[in-house]
Amino acid sequence: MKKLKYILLLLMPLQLFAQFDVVTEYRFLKLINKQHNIGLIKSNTTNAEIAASHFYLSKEKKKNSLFFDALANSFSISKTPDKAVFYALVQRILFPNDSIANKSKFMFQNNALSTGLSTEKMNTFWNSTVTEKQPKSREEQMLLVISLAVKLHSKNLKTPIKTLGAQLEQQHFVMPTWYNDWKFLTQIKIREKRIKKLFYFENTAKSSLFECLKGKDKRYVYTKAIRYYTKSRALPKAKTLIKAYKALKLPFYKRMAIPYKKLRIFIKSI
Amino acid sequence: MLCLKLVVNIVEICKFAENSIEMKNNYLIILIFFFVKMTFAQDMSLYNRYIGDKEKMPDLYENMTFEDYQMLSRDIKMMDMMYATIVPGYIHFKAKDTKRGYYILAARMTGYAGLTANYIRLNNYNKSYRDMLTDPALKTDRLLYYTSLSIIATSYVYDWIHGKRVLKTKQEQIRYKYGIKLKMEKQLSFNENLVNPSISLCLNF
Repeated sequence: MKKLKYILLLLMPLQLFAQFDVVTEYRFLKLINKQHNIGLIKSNTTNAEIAASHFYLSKEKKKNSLFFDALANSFSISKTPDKAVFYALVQRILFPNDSIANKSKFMFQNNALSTGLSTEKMNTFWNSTVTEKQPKSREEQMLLVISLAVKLHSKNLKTPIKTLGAQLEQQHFVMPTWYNDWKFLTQIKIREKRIKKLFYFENTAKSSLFECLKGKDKRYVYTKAIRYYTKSRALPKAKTLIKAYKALKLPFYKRMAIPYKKLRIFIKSI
Repeated sequence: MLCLKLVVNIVEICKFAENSIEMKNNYLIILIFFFVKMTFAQDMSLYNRYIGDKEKMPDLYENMTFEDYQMLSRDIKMMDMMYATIVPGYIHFKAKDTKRGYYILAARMTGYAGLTANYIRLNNYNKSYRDMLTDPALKTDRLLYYTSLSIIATSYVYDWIHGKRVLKTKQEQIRYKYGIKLKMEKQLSFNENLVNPSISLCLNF
């Protein structure tokens, strides 16, 4: 019995200083959501998002589903519909819970429409996340969250999507080409509005991004990539891209801009 | 002004001290005291300067973000009031309300532009500011002058008062947030996530 006491004493500090305790985060979110104080909710969102990134791979369903539902509610109250939809998707796909699904349908629909989705698309989003239709492995479920979140085309979702993707890559999961293309496009700082026009899942499923793109879009991605690599001092990469860019059918004014791009690379190399 | 008054006082004390030899020592002590005071008066602050995180390492909550820490350690002092006269929106920028800070900056710039336009117009008419106040023909210039001045003054006062309120509210929110979270974590009876005793082996390469 004495030993048991020591074990209990050892366990106590572990519980006292538990990092990112899902119950604490959930209870605090519940408390502030009820108060409807947007300033307070906004002040907590960064902490809640950091905590959320630790729970994606968790196997505990009930607590996590409650936490992600409260987080989605939090974003809904603070009028950030894209993030509300994202965390609702995480909850529905990774931590499904029937009682929450019935309760949060209206909130999900409202926020999905606020992100600019049509009613049809919103319905496909909802239906594709029904428990029966979901893939069984955790990795594929995470990929489903990513694919739906990418379709929202929101600049606020870049970081959470990349965090989820990084965790998936850590599991040695082979990421599909479209995800790598999306990551590349966001990396070279193309705006989400433009990505929406450039990016098609069907096009980029098998071949590389530069092969899929044509005409103006291809030139645009090349110029953005050259600018990005020049700025980040990845000069050999920028030079190879310029060579490929030169080989394209370029209008006269675009050809005139090539020496300027080369000059920028030269200045950076000094 | 304060320094001038002090100098005048010291001169008077010196005159009085000249009358007696015993007072010469006192005169020296007063002078030393004055210079010591001067060295400490580096920061023009009406608050207690010894309450700050320069003095000791603060107790931090382990999940606290750097932004929250920054907000908690910031304070609006009298010196900031002076900075706000030079940098429009300074208090709001300090309270990390950048959007409002830029609005104040724009308002102040509009005010300055109005004053400049007023000055140029008066120069073109060869009129002075005194004429502007009395001449009925320069009614629009007078209006422009007063409007610009009021924009500058209002934006400054708004920056000072509202900025201080923003910072205080943010600090209250942070204190509330971490205070409650710490309490929640300490309430063992509510912690359903029981830790199971276990043994593991680890091999690092």
